Amino acid sequence: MAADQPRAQETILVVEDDVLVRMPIAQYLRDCGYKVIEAVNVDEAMTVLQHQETVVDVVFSAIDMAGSTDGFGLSKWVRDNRPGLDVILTGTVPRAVNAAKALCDDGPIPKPYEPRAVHDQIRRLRAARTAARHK
Amino acid sequence: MVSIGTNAMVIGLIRITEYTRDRPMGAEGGEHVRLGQAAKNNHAVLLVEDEVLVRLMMAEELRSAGYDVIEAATADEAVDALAHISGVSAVITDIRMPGSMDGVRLARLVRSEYPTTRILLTSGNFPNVAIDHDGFFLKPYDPRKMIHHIKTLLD
Repeated sequence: MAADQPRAQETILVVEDDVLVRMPIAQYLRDCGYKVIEAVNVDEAMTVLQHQETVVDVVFSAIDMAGSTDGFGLSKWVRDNRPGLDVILTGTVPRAVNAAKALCDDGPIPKPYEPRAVHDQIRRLRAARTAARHK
Repeated sequence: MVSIGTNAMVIGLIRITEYTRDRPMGAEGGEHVRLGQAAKNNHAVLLVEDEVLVRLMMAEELRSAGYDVIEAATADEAVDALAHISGVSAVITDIRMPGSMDGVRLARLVRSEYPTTRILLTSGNFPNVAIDHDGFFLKPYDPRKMIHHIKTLLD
């Protein structure tokens, strides 16, 4: 590709069953210039990946999720059915944020704000939820 | 014409309730939904839909129209989001969804707990119960018509 041609917008499929984690991560990646599709579990992710009209360039998936299988199962399914499609597995929120940061470093809009802010936001959201449950 | 849903016919809005436009309020102490760039129109919409392909198409349409979109696959996720994320101006929810709560109960909760948040309902069937809401769209619906209606409610 010539250096002066615009880079096509890449699409990341974010697979995460906790909305308070999924939303900030997805938003950060959008602010980095990616198109982001959200799936709440592996079953949804597979539905998206099997939909021929939907383009996905990278899968960004949590590991532990409710549903028929987990992130490892998704990774294996992708390897068998969508060879060549990159899968990034994240085990913890810090790892997810670091992985998002790495993607943003290569993204159309590198690091629009400090990824630590994403981690802080997720931590505050989850702390508020925990506090609410113990009331 | 793009339509979202599963049936062949498109039937649009059947009822709009009168409302008084108030400044949207979120959960007390909640995080604002936006961490980075502000939405073009400063409004966030919570989209609750268990069919992922329907949800992603409608979310895309809403984002293209300038809205921040929070996506939820169930009413339980929506309740979680509403409780901890402030700044949600409207909730678009399907009626029939898996989980501990359907769209009807979610709509009633939103009306009760977040009275300035607008409620739009979607379904493949007309609801057979009375639900206080700000718009109903029978699937398959034209997303442009829904977005036009949202604009009249929020802008």
